[in-house]
Amino acid sequence: MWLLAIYLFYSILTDLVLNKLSLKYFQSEIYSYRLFTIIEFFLLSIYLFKELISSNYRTFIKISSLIFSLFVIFDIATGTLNEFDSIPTGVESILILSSSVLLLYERIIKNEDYNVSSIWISIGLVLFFSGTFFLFILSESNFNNSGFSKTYSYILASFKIISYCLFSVGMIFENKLPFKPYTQLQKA
Amino acid sequence: MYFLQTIESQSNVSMVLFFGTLGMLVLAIGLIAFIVFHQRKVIKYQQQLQFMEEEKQQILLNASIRWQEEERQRIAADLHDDAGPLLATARLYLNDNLVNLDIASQLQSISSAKHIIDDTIQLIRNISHSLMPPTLKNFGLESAVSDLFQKINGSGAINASCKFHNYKERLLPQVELLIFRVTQELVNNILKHSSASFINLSQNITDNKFYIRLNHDGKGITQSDFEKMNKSSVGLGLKNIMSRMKVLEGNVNFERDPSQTFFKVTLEMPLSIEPNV
Repeated sequence: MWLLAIYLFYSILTDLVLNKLSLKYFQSEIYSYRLFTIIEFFLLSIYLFKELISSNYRTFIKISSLIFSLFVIFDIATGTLNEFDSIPTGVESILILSSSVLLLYERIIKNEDYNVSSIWISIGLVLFFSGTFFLFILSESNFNNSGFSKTYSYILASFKIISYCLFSVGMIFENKLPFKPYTQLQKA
Repeated sequence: MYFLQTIESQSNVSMVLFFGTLGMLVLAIGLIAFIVFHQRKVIKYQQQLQFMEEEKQQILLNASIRWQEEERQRIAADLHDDAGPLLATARLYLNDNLVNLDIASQLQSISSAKHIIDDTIQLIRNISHSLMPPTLKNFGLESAVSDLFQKINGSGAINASCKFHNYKERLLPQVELLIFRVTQELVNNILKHSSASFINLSQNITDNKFYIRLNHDGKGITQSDFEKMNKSSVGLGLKNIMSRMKVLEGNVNFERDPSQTFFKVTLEMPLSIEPNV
């Protein structure tokens, strides 16, 4: 849970401080976004890795981290650093989306009800990354378009609010009701 | 991705963004709905399995209660119909008028009463032995089963043989009793229903598991017949076998030999078991 808290704190810090610092010192917010993409991916991957039980699903996270790292290296090596990193962000969205679906499936199958934090957090992640996928993909070529920037901010803010609300629900459930695998119910 | 990044026109960008986001959201919500639907289905299936298991347990419990009641009735009948009249007759010989009789008649009455009391003692001993065979208690499962097979062989109606290959250390008394009862029930069924000309029992221990195998050349049942009878209200003896094997955490398997000449019944149970009986 603390990983998610760090992620949320870092996300807010990026929006409030790091973007402005990046703009001030590097004349672009892109550097802050690029750093955020990498840190976001690894924080969420570690969170998902820790939450998942199946060894196959955990292997998927390891492989996806490797794939993402390769894409980031490729993007840095071939692209220009002051452009929006659509390819790593798109790849990140697909990989985190897939891992979140796996976590959601794993948890929901083993629980009779939905009062488990990871169910709500994974739904939040699925909605956020599916909702912003196209936005990030189109950002590289349209980031300097003022109309697009406005849309970008609205869509991103909307999905952030939705996902943060779901994360909050998940965080409430974590302390209220423990994880109750369905196999234990069967034994009882 | 590359195609999407190269869209230049503002209206096209908005269209792609709108429909793309909408499409992704629909996909994501559909996926979540599918997972939830699937979960409901899995839970329903698990509950059905649980219900079936409970139903099976109930059948076994009922069978066990019925068996206990029948056993009580049998003991009550033995005591009432055999021991009761014998003791009443002995009491008649030893009535109040005995002191008024001559010595010879007194001795005759006392001797008759003594014989009747001896018969009653024997009868009660038989009842007690049927509840807990002394051979089993004192000498163990191998001796008790050998004793049972010797008695069957002695009748001359059927050729019965048994061989314990690996029984150096005795099992717990309650485990031995359960195995003996299951074996007894199976042998009784073979004698009653199979018209077999031979019964052969062999025991072995492999991979920390205790095995007893019964072979006979009569009419037998297969595993599917056994499962059918277990689910129906008939076959009290088979249900008792099943409930005892459940206590032993073991399995019973009925099969026909590939040569189609005889039937096999295999009892399999773990060696390290302490049943709560």
